[in-house]
Amino acid sequence: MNIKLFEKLHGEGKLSLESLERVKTAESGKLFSLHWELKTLLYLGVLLFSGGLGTLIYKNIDTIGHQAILLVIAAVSGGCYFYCFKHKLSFSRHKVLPPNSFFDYILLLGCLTFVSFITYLQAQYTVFGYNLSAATFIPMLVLFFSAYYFDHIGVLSLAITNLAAWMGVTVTPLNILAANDFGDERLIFTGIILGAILVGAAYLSRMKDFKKHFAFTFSNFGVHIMYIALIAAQIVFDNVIWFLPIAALTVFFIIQARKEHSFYFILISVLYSYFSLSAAIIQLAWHSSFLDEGLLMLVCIYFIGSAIALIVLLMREHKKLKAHDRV
Amino acid sequence: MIAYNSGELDKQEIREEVQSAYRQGLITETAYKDINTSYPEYFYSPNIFIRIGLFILTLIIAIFGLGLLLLMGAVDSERGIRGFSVFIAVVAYAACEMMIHGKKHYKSGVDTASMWMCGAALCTFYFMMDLVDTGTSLYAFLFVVSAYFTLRFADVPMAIIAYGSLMMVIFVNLDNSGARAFLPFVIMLLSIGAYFGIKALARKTIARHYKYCLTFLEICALLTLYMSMNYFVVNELNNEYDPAGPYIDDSYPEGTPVPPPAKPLALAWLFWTTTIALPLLYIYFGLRKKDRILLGTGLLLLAAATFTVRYYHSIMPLEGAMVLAGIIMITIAWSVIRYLKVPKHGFTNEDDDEKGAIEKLHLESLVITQTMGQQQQVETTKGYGGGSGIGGGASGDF
Repeated sequence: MNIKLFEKLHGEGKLSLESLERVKTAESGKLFSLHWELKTLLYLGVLLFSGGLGTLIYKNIDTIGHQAILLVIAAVSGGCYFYCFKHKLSFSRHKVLPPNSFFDYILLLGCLTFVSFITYLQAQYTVFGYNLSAATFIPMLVLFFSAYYFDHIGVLSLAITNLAAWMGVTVTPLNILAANDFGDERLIFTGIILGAILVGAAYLSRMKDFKKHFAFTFSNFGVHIMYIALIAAQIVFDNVIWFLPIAALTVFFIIQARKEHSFYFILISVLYSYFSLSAAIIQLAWHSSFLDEGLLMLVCIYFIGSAIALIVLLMREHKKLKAHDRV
Repeated sequence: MIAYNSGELDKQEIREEVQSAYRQGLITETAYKDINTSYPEYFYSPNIFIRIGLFILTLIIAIFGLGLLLLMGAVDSERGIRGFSVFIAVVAYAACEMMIHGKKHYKSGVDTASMWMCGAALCTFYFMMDLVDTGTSLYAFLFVVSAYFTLRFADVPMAIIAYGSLMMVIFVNLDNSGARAFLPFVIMLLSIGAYFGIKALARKTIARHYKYCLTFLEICALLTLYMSMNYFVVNELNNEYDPAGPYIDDSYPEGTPVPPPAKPLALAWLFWTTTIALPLLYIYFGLRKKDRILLGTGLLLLAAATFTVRYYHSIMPLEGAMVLAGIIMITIAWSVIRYLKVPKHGFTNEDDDEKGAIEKLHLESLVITQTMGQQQQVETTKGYGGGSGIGGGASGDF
C-alpha cells in the first residue's frame, strides 16, 4: 500500500490518525506471501510425479509384471485416500476448507491413481467385461463422491470431465472443439443433454444450498458445452430455427447471471448468442436468391449496427450490476 | 504525455488503495464512504469481462466497417492501399482519443481496440511502402509506433513490443557487424542497464501511471538477460552463423555440399555456468529482497535451465527425470510449507488478501482438468488398445 496516499488523506482530514496508524502498522508488518509459488511447485510436482510414474510403468511393463504394478498403484491410491479419510474435517453441505496445505494435493493424487488403477484393471483383465461404459462409470462415481465428500473443486472438474467422457464428449477446456467431431448428429444431442444436466446441477446446488460453491464449476462447463452443441446443430443441420432455443437459453442465463451478479456469464451468453444470430443472418443471406454486393454491404451494416447495439447493452448491464462487483 | 486525465488517475489510485485498506479492515466504513464521495469515479473502466466483450465488439465494428468501405470501392490500386491505411490509422486514432476525452473511457476495451486498429493500419502502411529492407528498419518502425502508444496509453503489450523491437534493432545491427562475437555480452550489459533503469524509473513520481508497464518491462529485461547468457540460445546463434558467407538455412537444394560446421562455441564453460547460475541468483535475490518478480522469473527460468541441460545431455530417461523432479519439487514445497507454519523471516504461506476477479474463476480447477484430465484420458483410450472407441467423442488423436 502507498503510505504517502494515506498520509495525504489524513492531512485532508478524511482519515483519522488511528486509521492511519493502523494502515502503517499493517504495511510495515506485512509478510511476503509464498502461497502461490509453493502451491504451483506442489502442483507441478504432483503432475510430474504422476505423469512420470505412468510412463515408467508403461515402459517397463514386461519386467515388473502386472500384479506388482497394480499393487503399487493401489498402494499409492489407498495411501492417499487413507490420509484423506484420517485428516478430513467433518462433512458439511457448505464449503469446507482443507485441514492443511497438502490435503488437496494428496486427494488429487489419490483420485488420479485410482482412475489409473481402474483403467489398468480393465485393460489387462477386462474386469468389467466388454461393457466399456462401466469402466468410466465407476471412476466417475468415485470422483463425484470424493469431490463432494472432501470438498474439492478440482476433483469435481475431473468428475465432470469423466461424466462427459462416459457420455462420449471431450470437455477438456482447450480441446473442446478439436477433439469432438461436431458433425456427428449423436454427439450434438449428447452435448445438449450433457449441458442441460450440468446447468441443472448448478441450478439445484444453488437452490437447495447444497455445496453452493460448486455451482460455478457446473454451470461453467454446462453453459459452454450447451451453447457449442446448439450452435453446432444450427450450422451442421443448416437450419436457422436453432437460433430460437439459443435465444431462449440466453434469456434464462442472463436472468440467472443478473441474480448472481456474474459478468462472466453475461459476457459468454451474449457473445455465444451473438455468434449464433450472426451465423443465422449469414445463412439467410447465403440461401437467398439475390446474393450480390448490395446484400454483402447490408451484412456489413448489420455487423456494425449490431456490434454497436451490443456495446450499449453490455455497458448498460455493467452499470446495473456494478453496485455488487463479482465475477 | 499520457492521454488519460492525470489528476483523475491519481484519484483512481486513491480509491483503489482505500478500497483495499477497507477490505482488510484497516479503516472504518464511514471513512471509506466519505473518501469515496469526495473522490468520485470519473473514468469508465469496467470489469475485465465487460472489457473483453467491448474489445471484441469494437474490433468487429472496425473490421466490418473496413469491409464496407472496401465493398464500396475505396481502394483501387496499390497506392490506394497506402492512402487508405493512413486514413484508417487516423480514423482509429481519432476514435481512440475521442473515447478517452469525450466518453472518459479508461482501458475499457473500446479505446484499447481502437489503439490496436491504428497500430495495425500503420503496419499495413509500412509494408505497402516497399522500403528496402535493411533488417532493422521494420524493428525501428515498430519501436517508434509502440513506444508512442506506450507513453500515450500506458498499454502493457505495447510496452513489451517496444522493448522487444528495440532489442531487435540492436541485435540485428550487431549481428551483421564485426562485433558479433561480443553480442551476448552487449545484450547482457544492456539488459542489466535496462533492469536497473526501469527499477529506478518506477520509483519516480513522473512514472506513476506506468506502474504495470514498468513491471512487465522489468520481467522482459530479466528474460533478455537470461537469453543473452543461455547456452542453448548462444550456441544456436553460433551454429547459425557461417564465417564463410551469409546465414545458413535448411533449404539447400539437393546435391550442394553441406557447409562446414560452425566453429564450436568459445567460452562454453562460461555460458554453462550462467545458464544454471542465473536462475538461482534470481531466486536468491528475489527471496532476499522479497521481490516477487525476481523470484517468479527465477523459478520459471529454472525450468528453462533444466530443459537446456537436458537438450544436450540426457542424463536419464525422461520419465525417470520426471519422477525425480516431481519428488524433489514435492519435497521442497512440503518442507517449506512445514517450515513456514509459523511465519519466519517475514515470509508466510498464508494467502494474500488481495483477490482479483480472475482468481474467482477457479482457474486452478480448469488447469487441473486441462493437464490431468488429459493424462487420464490418454490412459483410458490407451487402455482399450485403440479399439472400438468409447462413443463419438474420443476420436483417438491424443
